[in-house]
Amino acid sequence: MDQARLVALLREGNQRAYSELVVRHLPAIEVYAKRIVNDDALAQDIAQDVMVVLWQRSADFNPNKARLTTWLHRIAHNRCIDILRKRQREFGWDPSESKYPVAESDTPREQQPIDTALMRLPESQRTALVLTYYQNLSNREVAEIMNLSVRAVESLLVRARGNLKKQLETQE
Amino acid sequence: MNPDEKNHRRAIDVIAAYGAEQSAWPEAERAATLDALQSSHEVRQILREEASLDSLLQQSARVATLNATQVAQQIARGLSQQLTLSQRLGRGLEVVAESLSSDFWKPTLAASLTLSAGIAVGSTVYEPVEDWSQAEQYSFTVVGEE
Repeated sequence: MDQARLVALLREGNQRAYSELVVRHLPAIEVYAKRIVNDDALAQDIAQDVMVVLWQRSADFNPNKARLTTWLHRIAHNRCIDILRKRQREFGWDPSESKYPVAESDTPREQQPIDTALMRLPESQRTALVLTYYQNLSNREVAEIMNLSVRAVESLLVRARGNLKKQLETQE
Repeated sequence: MNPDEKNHRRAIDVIAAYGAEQSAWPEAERAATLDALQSSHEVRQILREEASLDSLLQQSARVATLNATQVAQQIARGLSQQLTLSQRLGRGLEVVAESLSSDFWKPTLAASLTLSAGIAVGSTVYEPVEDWSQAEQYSFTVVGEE
């Protein structure tokens, strides 16, 4: 079924439409959160929270202004940033070096050098790169999610890719 | 800077930001970037460098592990239960409102107000005696006089 129709049905409280939208969008949001917070359990909590927001605040979504995926990514982005900043304040947590300090992930994963390099990027550079490269969002959508201009996003992307190259050279 | 140099500079910026994959470039600038690639060795060199970074980025695999159907059912069920609870609460408030609109509550209210006033007066006026030795002296005095 067409996504606009599903959103309209969701606004009427239709649970089937909601389930269909969750099936379509949850995986991308979960993967996005995993790439930003570097903790699987925490990322899953964030992704589920975003889906709760979809049910509770679907009236706030304006399909004429943005795609649903952009809106959901923006909510996820804000949650991730809030959590990262809170953890950094409370524990001095560095997501590049350790997992979330309270909850350990159940599924330890082998990190590639690129994963380590990505997690060492400053938060804004990592977010711009992940949204553009892995989440396949347009530069305008990324700018909207991050509340920046398109030029600022481009600048973050250039710096992110430059930093990755430097880090990967050092690792070799 | 002449228009060709400007185009080359912009093509380099586009590739440096979005990588070597054409589909990642902004649609409006794709044709100009391809033109610059044809005509500039420098742009092609940048493209090769970014292509090798793209292949490294591809090695980072993250997968979704949540069961989306199950999550949707859990959230919808949980939120429906919340709705039921709020509906029950709403019904309870309706009952209270209905009973207040009838007359039977007046004696109950009067009794509870009297009780509350009594408790309030008792708790503010009462002063506990802490020095009981003084009280014993008074008792002896009274006994001695007899």
